[in-house]
Amino acid sequence: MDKQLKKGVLQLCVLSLLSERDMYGYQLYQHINATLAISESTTYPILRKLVGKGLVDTYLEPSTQGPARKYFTLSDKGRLLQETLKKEWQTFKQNVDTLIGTGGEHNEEDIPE
Amino acid sequence: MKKTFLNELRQHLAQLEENEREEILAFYEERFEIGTSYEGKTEEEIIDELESPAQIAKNVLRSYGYSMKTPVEKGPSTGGMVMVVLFDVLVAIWLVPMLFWLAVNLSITLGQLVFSLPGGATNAGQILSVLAMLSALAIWVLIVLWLYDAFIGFITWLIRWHVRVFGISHKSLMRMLKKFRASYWIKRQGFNRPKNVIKGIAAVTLLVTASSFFIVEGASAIQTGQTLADYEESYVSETPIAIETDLDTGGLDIRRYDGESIVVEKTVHEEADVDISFEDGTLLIENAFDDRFFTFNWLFSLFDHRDAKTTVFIPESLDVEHFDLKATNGTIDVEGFFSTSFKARTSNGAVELTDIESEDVAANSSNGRISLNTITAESIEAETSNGRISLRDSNAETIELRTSNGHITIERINTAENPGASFKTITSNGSIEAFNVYTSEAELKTTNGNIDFENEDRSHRFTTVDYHTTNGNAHVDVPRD
Repeated sequence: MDKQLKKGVLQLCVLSLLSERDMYGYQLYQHINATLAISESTTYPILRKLVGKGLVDTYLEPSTQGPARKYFTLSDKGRLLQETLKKEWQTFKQNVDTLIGTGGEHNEEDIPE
Repeated sequence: MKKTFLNELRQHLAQLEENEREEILAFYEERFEIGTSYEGKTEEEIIDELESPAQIAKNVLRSYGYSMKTPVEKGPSTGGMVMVVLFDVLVAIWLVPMLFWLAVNLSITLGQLVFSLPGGATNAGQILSVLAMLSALAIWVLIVLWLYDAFIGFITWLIRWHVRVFGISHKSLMRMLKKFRASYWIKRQGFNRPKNVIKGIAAVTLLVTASSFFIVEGASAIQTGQTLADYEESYVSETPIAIETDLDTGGLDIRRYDGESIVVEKTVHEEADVDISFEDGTLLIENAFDDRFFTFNWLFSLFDHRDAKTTVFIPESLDVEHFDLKATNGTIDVEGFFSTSFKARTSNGAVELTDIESEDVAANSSNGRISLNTITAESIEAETSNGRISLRDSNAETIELRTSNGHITIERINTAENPGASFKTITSNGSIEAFNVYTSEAELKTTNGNIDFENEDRSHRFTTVDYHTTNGNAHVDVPRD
């Protein structure tokens, strides 16, 4: 899969997961890994980058069972981006589906010779 | 176990900035905490789940845009440190200032060269000089920028080597240094396109510049050639002499004069001196070949032959038996001699002979005219490739005049009472004019030109007249058998 595309998609996945609820790093990885099977070491840099861009904020939550955990939460900016990216992805997905579904047949009238 | 794993990872991530590295490590630290506290796993089990530190580092570094070409350092090495220190003390201490000095000096020198251009090029035309100036200026700017970048590049390399060996975090420093490069700035300012345009202009006009450099060189050669040196040498001889010359530059004049000794005057450029010797009755005048060869005077000879000159004065009373004259870039001019043999040849200059009496007279030139006046000889031969030939008021048994691209004029040769044996005039691109030439046989041939042949004294009859022109008119009006 194209590197840039994969990166972009992973970013969207992380943002989307966080839009549902706050998570800590490992938890986030586990969620993604349950469906996408990616390596742990590619997840963390993505998280870190999102934090750096101000799309994701962090806070510490004390735990009863062990040390305090670092939770990740979407910022307003992140939420906005997640919505844009999601729409873009859906359009993209739809277009790709159309292409794949028709086996390359497209609306001939739109294509110049 | 966990500590070893994290330490190993830390080392593999040495290229990262400290906060970047610590954050990644924090993830894994947390990973261990969660695994042990919440999931009841042992550290070993977690390590088994995880990728190897090297693999993690590879993925992390890649996602941060680091090149994986450089092998992951195993921390500072003593040998490397010694090398670095040695390099600093022995090499860098002078190499860095020297490179800086070199870059600055080269820029200045090239700049001076550029700004000195138009002065010499004025006679090459205003447009050419302005064009040459502009293109040279563009090239100069590019070279200066390149030199500057090369210097920054070297400094960057040096620092990178230092920090790699000493294991210091250096990414931000590298980034900062990169910003010092001219190419970075040009790219950032969106000047890449103008830069390419400059490059294009420079490349196209490079030819113009190069040729104008030659013109400048030529001009300066002529200018330096104006500082001529005059010499005079004289010899005394009672018996007939011979004159031989072999000159590469300058013309040659041989004259009679009212004096006692042979006088040689030379007006030559210092870089193309002429040697004169007088031994066993032979006056030998030649260029010092070795000097010429090693100082590339042949280059200058193209420009300075115009004003260099060797003049030989021969006393009226002294006979010259043999002439063997050779000049390469100059005119040979001889007047008033009676001799046994006479040879004169030059490549880029004329041959002018006046009042010569000799058994044989031979004149050769490659790119110059030959004009012969009042010659008395058994045979007269003149040959040139690109020049006209004229023979006037002369007496000779056999005459042969040949040229490839030029006219031939031959007039007032012999008399009807005392005709010669034959004359031949042959040219390819030029007309032939023959008037009052009295010999038994005549041959006039040309390819592109007219032939005009007429004698006033109708009493003389030719035995054969052979004339031919391919693309021209022939007017031959002489009595013949």
